[in-house]
Amino acid sequence: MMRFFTRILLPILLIAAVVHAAAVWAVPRLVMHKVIQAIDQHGGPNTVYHAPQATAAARTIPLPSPDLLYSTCALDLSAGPVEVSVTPGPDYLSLAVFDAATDNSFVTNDENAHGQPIHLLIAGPATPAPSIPQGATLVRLDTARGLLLLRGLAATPELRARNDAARHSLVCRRQ
Amino acid sequence: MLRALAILIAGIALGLGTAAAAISQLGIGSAVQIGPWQTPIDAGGPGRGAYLRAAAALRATLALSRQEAIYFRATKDSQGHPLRGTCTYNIHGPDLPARWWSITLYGADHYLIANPANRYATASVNATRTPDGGFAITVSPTPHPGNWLDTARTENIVLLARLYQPHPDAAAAPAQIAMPSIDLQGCP
Repeated sequence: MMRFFTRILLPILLIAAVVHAAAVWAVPRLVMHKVIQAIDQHGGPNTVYHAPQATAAARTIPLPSPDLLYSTCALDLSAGPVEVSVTPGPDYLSLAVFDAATDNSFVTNDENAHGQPIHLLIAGPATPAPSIPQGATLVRLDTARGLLLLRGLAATPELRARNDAARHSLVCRRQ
Repeated sequence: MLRALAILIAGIALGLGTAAAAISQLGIGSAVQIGPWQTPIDAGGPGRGAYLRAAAALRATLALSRQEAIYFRATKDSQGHPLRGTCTYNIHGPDLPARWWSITLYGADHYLIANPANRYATASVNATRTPDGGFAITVSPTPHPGNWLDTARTENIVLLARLYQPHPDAAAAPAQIAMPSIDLQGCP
């Protein structure tokens, strides 16, 4: 019995514990890798992509809201920080930054901006103390890859027109 | 050699199986249940545990942190029966405590359901209101006046309620939010 435990059961349990932990760790990273890879196809990293409004036939991000306009920028911070700016209109518009493990590391919106442009400097783990432009907010990511996601309320034709104009002010570029 | 290989395969299978079960069960286990609606305490925030992070990556990729948005998912009606696209449901309740909200209908694959009107959701900014300021939405394969979401007879359906910029008391205590009822009206 003891021999069965030490030679068979214990090794199986040890391997299972390692595989279990690795799988739970890997799932969000694999999902995000796939998402970033898909968005990279729209112009490459650190490039703004204005996705069409989601329908049954087309979606850019998983589980999209059909009431929102989405714009994306697949972040690659390995060569230095990325500057992001957008000028919201009077309607709901948010900017969210996700790391490579799907964590929503930062989010802000039009109300927080009080009618002013939103200006971010997004830096990766390898960037030593970047110079922050005046008025910008520094966002630190633990990973070199990540995703910027703009959401703009577009539940009516009027909202859609206003937020489509607002999202086209989005800039995402290497500092 | 053969025994070592068998041990390795058994260990990997057990590890993957328990990981899948734990992501499914522990991810859900940390959720708040209000009637048929279920929400993780914080779908997108960096303070999530490993299991919730993995569960949210699979079910709610790119979810925002709780201060910005709260997500409620329903796969059953208020009586606990699975939602079916061949049936008619009445979703009704008070206005939701957020800057704006929406309720979206998906298939079980989390894709929007194709329908002639291209209408996939009802939002607070375009919903027809009830006299008390609340709302009622009919989810049905047949046309209805007012707020109607067409199931197109999709067999299994999922409802997702999104509350953007939830009011501070709602963000602080999502379990106290008065979520709408999902009442079965009839099946063919």
